[in-house]
Parts: sequence; structure tokens; C-alpha cells
Amino acid sequence: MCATEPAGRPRPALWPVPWPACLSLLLAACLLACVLPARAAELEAKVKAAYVFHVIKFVDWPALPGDALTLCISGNDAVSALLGDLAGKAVKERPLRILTGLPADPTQCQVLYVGGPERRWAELQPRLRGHSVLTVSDQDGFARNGGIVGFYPEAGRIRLEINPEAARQANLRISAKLLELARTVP
Amino acid sequence: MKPHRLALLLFGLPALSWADTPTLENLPLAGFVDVTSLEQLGNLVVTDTKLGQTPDSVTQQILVLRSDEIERLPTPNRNLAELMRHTSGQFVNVLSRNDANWGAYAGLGPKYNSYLLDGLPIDSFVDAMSLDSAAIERVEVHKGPASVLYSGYLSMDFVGNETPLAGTTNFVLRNRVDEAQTRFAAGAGSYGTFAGSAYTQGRSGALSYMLSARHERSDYTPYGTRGSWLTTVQTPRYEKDRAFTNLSYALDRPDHTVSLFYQRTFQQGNMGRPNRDFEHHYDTFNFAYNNPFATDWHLQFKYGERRYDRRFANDAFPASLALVSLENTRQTIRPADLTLSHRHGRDALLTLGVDAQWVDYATDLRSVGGAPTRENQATARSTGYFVQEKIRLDDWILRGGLRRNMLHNDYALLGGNTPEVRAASWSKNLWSLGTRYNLHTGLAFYANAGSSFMAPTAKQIGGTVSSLQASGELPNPNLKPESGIGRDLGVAWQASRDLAIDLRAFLNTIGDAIVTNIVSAAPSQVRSVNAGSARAAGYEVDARYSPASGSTFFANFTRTHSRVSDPVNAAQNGSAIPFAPTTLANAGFSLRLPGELSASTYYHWVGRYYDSTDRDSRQAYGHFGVINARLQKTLDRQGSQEVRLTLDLNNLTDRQYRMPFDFRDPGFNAFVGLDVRY
Repeated sequence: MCATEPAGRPRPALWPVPWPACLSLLLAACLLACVLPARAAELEAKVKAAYVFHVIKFVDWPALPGDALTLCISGNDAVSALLGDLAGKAVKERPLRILTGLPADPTQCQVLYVGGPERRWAELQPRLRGHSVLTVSDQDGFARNGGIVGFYPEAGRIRLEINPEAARQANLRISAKLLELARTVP
Repeated sequence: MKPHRLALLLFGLPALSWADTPTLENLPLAGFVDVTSLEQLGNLVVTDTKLGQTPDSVTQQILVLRSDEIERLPTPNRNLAELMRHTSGQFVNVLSRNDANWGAYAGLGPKYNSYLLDGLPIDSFVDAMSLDSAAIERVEVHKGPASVLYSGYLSMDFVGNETPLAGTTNFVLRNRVDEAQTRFAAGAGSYGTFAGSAYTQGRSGALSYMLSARHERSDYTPYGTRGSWLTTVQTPRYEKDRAFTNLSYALDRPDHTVSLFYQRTFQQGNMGRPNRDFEHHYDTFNFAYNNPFATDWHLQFKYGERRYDRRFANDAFPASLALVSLENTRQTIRPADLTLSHRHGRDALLTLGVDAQWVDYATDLRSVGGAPTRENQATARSTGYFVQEKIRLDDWILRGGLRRNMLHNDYALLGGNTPEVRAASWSKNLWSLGTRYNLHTGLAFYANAGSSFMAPTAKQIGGTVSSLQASGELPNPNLKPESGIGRDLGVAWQASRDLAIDLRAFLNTIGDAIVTNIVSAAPSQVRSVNAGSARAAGYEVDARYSPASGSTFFANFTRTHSRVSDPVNAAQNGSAIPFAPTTLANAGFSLRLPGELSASTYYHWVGRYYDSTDRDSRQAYGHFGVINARLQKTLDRQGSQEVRLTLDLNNLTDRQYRMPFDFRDPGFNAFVGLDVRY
């Protein structure tokens, strides 16, 4: 027995949707490509700020204050401006305290986000040496320049780079889960 | 409105789209961090090494369907396999809402594409029908051979074992909750379908929990071809109840966890005749222990149980609709996996471990007024040792792996008889190699090859005949496993931030292919022998455009040429591999529209395919296109509270296409649902 399609039945076209539908799809795609607002920079800042929050979960400090975990923001780039929204969010079973502006003693911060020009980091680095402060920045090459967590773009996405030696010197334990998704730099 | 006009309207929606509508990325940062995870931000995949890896360090092509996309994808038969229907290379062929997926991948039939639930094997035919999508965080479609890190599935039911030669699909469970959420959903649709579900997730200290219950009932509709064994004389009703719990406890750190997942599915109904009732129970259990116990070491232990209990009533159709017998199939499969990963050198990852599986299988038959009799009883077990090393040398990724697999089957009873062959064992060494070259940011070339094997089914080894004069399958204790090699070669190109284009070619070959030949017409006897080989070659082209608005456009095309060689049987020598279409094509878009409206439309084209290799008796299928659409409108949103209306329009052009085993798609159907979450 060989039952195939009934004889004489017209074979359906490869694309049974009417041509106006195909045309509208094509036009709409062109329209979208032309008129979509350029909001990539805003989204990029939000993704970096979200990374800061999630990264904290996967870092262990030798000791944490009981009342809150302090995130200090130095500088005023797009990411710095967003991080203030995280005030009060619970992380590591404590509320997140946001300090805008660099305190007189930056070692009281558990996390320090360094925004703005590279010169500021050069000044800060010696003051943090030997203290358990997780430093994060989106400055180019931040992790290569002694910072712990930096960002870099790849294939349209934001990726993390981590300096394990800087973390070790700060007596911070970086989770293997975090290292899985990051590029490590010397 | 005529389906074609509706299709025109849906395909015309892009012209109305603009980006100024609330989307995930428009949420304030505090809300954004609640709905994203480190894995999502990092775009990680786990299937290639069992640990999270960035795509640029993976030699295989792994397609990821994330939870937001899963929510948009149409699943007319409520089957998780349908989530992959619009991805390249996949032929998803769900026979009905009560039946399995009988698809194909990369030119090979359903036995050569395995499914995983969080890294442990599940049944690629059956389990996608019972599992609940609410439990799934993402789906990773791993293209190409994966037999070194993952064993086959030792199912004794249906057509036997399944192995990841052409690829594997990993349903990754949600394992961490940051924010409490509760959802209620209810809806109604064609064929008197009603569905309701309740889901809650939350966190108490270090414990993340998810609980879900779902009920669905339907009068359904005839889903067989006219005059076939699926002919109905009444409405083929069904009811399906599913409940799952997923618990994850962080022991001392967020990445040192113990997780438990348990789902129970109960499905009952009738196939449209008074004595064709069915009642199925499925239990799926996964346990996982994860411990990155040092910066460079990671230990994982996983154990699972899959219990299947299926009961069917049989009549004597077409001669009589009276009850003839009751059939019960029970199978329990317990997979376990212990994996140790060691990160070393600059960016190298060593993965080694052991996995095992234990299977109990039994079927009973009870004639009317009689006592149940055992028809089949068999057990199986397997042990595998595997090691894989992946290293990064600047822009090159190199991967190599080996597996030693031992498999043993015991057959106590086959077809009601004590078989002549009571046991069979096989040992195989498998290998896998892969490389990737990142030419520059966004452009990479990759190639992979790996071997696999498939054990013969119990009936092929032990036979089903009680004597040399009886009809049935003759035993063949010397039958060897089918051996296969999968290869692929591809280019992954992120042409811009928004546009990704992939091209992949594949070549899968099967040696010692098992073919079943007729030995005698009277009595009717067949015997399976290693007499053949099979080859499937083809290519896939994928394009995906995802502008920052949250909208997505995609298109893909797959072309396959397959051929079976069987010098013993001229009728099937040179035939195409069954269930593998020559052409598959998909196109679609998902848009954010003004007024908190989103629209997704998917077009799916299936080329010619056959249900058998025998050119004299095989039947031809395919050559049809289907359009499915989903419209979602947020009716109210206040903070984390949301009320959402969803309209599914499936098979818009009402194509009632034929499928193998006399199944037929019922054509156009619709479903409208309301979802409240807070």
C-alpha cells in the first residue's frame, strides 16, 4: 500500500500568506530599523547597575556589619546615577545602604563603585590596599588596573572581567559561579 | 474574519509598533534586578560542560529560549516540545494533546535527540507532554553530539533507548527566587477547553520555593484520519492535572545549594470511543547538590526518578466497540550523575564524572473477565565514566572528551513468553572533539564531532515468539548496538548589536543500523539484523533581529538530505530516514505595541517526510505551512501587580494536515486566558 497525497490535489505554495502580508512585514521591519529610538546607552547603564547588585551576592567578605551593607558611589556616570535606586534592597540578608559621594574613610564601604575619570581610581587605589572593599567600575581596563570587577562589551552584550589576585589581596572570596561567567584578567 | 485576513492583520502589526511601551528594560532598576539573574545578564549556557559558560567559550552552538520567550511561544497541544518548533533543524511533531512528540532533529529520527531536565535525562517522546512550563527557567538546545557528557535514556518503552547524537535539549529548572510572586490564570478555548492554574514563589531565609497546580479539561475533537483506528463515535474528552514543587536551599553560600523538584501529572480521558479510556500517571523527581567548594573546584551530584504508569482500554474496532482488554505499562527510570569540575590554567575547565541509570519495566494485559497476565518484564542498568577538557588559547577554544559506557539488560518476559535470550550487555567507548575560533568580536567559526551508540530494543534481542512455529519477532542475541558519529561546522555572526546570523552544516552517520526483515510469511516472523547504515547531511541558516525595543524578528531555514543503505532489502535501500523532513522553514516576530499590547506570530513550514524506510509501504507526509499567533494585553499594572489577557490563535489557515500513525491536526483553534500576578 502506498498512500500519498490524493491525486490532483494542488500542492500548497511554500508561502501561503498573501503577498500584502509579506510586504507589510518587510516594510515594518525597515520602519523599525529606521525609527527605533537609540536607547542602548540607557539600557547598558541599567544592565551594569544590575550586575553590581547580583555580583554582591556571590562575594564573601571576612566580616560584614550587622545592620547594612554599604555601597559607596564615587563619581557621577550613568551607572552611578542609577545605583541610588537600590537603597534598601535586601542583599546578603541585610539592607543595602547607598552612600553617594566618597566618604572620608572609603574603607568603611563594603562595595565601592568608581564612576567618572580614571584619575580618581589612581588616587583611591593606595587607600584601599589591604581592606576588604569590593571595587567595581565601568572604566576601560579597570580590573587590569588593580580593580576587582570591571565590564567589557562583547557581541552586543555587557560582560564581566574579574581580577582574582586583586580580590585575594582584599581578602574577598569570589564565588566560582561568578568566575564562570567572567573573564579573568591578570 | 477569514483566517487569511486575520493572518494579514497579524503580519501587518509591525507597522504599528514603536518602542515607547513598558517592557522589562523600562522597569526601574529595583524592579529590573528582581526579574533578572546573574545567569540572564551573563547569557550563560550550562549544557556543554555542566557549568555556566559564556557562549563565546562554547564550541557547540547552543540556542537558548529564556522564560520571557517561553511565555510568548505558542503551544497548541500544551507540550513543551512545541517550544522548539520554530528553531532551526527541529521537526516537532506532537500527534495530539494526549500523545507524544514524534519529531526529528538534524535529519535523524526522535531516538537520536535526547531531552534533559536540569542535566538528567528524561523521555524525549513522553515527558514534554507532562512537564509544566512554569517550572522551567530556560531551554538550552544543544546542537550536535553530546554523548560524552550525557548518557542515553534507557527507556524500554516505545521504540527503546534515546541518545544525544544529533543534539540534546536541556530544560533548566528555576532554582533561585529573589522576589515573592503569586499568579492565578484561567482561560477557555476551542473544543470546550478550560484551564486554570495557581503558582506561587517566595523565599524564606535561605530557602527558595515554588509551588504550582494546574488543571485542564477539554471535550477535544476527533484527531485521527477518517476510517482509521482513531475513528471516534463520541467526543474524545480528557482531563489533565499537574502539580509541582521546586525547593532550593542555600546551605552557607548562595552557590552551595540543595534542590528538589517533584512533579505529578495525572491525565485521564477517552479516545472518542466508549471502551478506549486511558489513565496516565507521571512522577518526575530531580535532586541536585551543587558545591563550588574552592575557587577552582565544583562538585555536583544529581539523582532523579521518572515513573510512568499508563493504562489503556482496548476495543475490537471496527468489528466491535465492546471492551476487549485492559493494558497497563509501568516503567521507573532512575538516573544519577556525579560531576567534578576543575578550573585550571588561564581559562581551562576539566570535567570528569560518573553517571548511572536503573530501569524497571513491566506491562500487563487483562482480558475482559480474566486475570491480569504479565506480558513484558525487563530491567536495565548502565554506568558511564566521562572526562572532558576544554582549554582557551587566545582566540581558540579546544575541547576533547571520552566516555566509557557499560550497559546491561535483563529480559524476564517478552510478549508473554520467556525469551530464549535472557540478558545482553554492551560496552562502548565514545569520544568527542570540538573547536571554536573567535575571529573577532561577534564572529566565530566552530566545528564538532562525536560518537554515540544505541542499544537494540528488548524485543529485537530476545524476540517475542513462543516457539519456532509462532508468529512474532525472532530473537537475535548477536545484535550489535547502532553506532553513530555526529559532525557539525558553523559560523556564528553577531553582525550588529541587534542582528545575529548563524550558519551550520551537519553530517550524521549511523553504522550497524538495525533493520527488521521478514523471515517468513506463514507464520509471520521477522528478525532484526545489523544490516544497514544511514546518513543525514544538511544545513541550517538562522537570522534573528532584536532591536532594543524588546521586539524580535526571526527566520530560519533547514535543508536535509538523508539516505538509508540496506543491501539486504532492496525496498528500503536508498530511502530517506523516516520522520525527517527534507525542508523546514520558520519566520516570525514578537512585537511590543502601544497600549501595553504585544503580538507574536510564527510561521512554520514542513517539507516532505515519510513514516518508514520501506518504499512499498511507506506513507508520505508534510508539505504544509502553519501560522500561530499570540496576542497579550496588560489590562492593569500597579507596581508588581499585573493583570494580563492572552489570546492564542493557532493554525490560522486551518490546515488539517496528516501525521504518522493516522493522526491528523484538528486545524484552527483559539484560546483566551486571563493571568493575574502580584
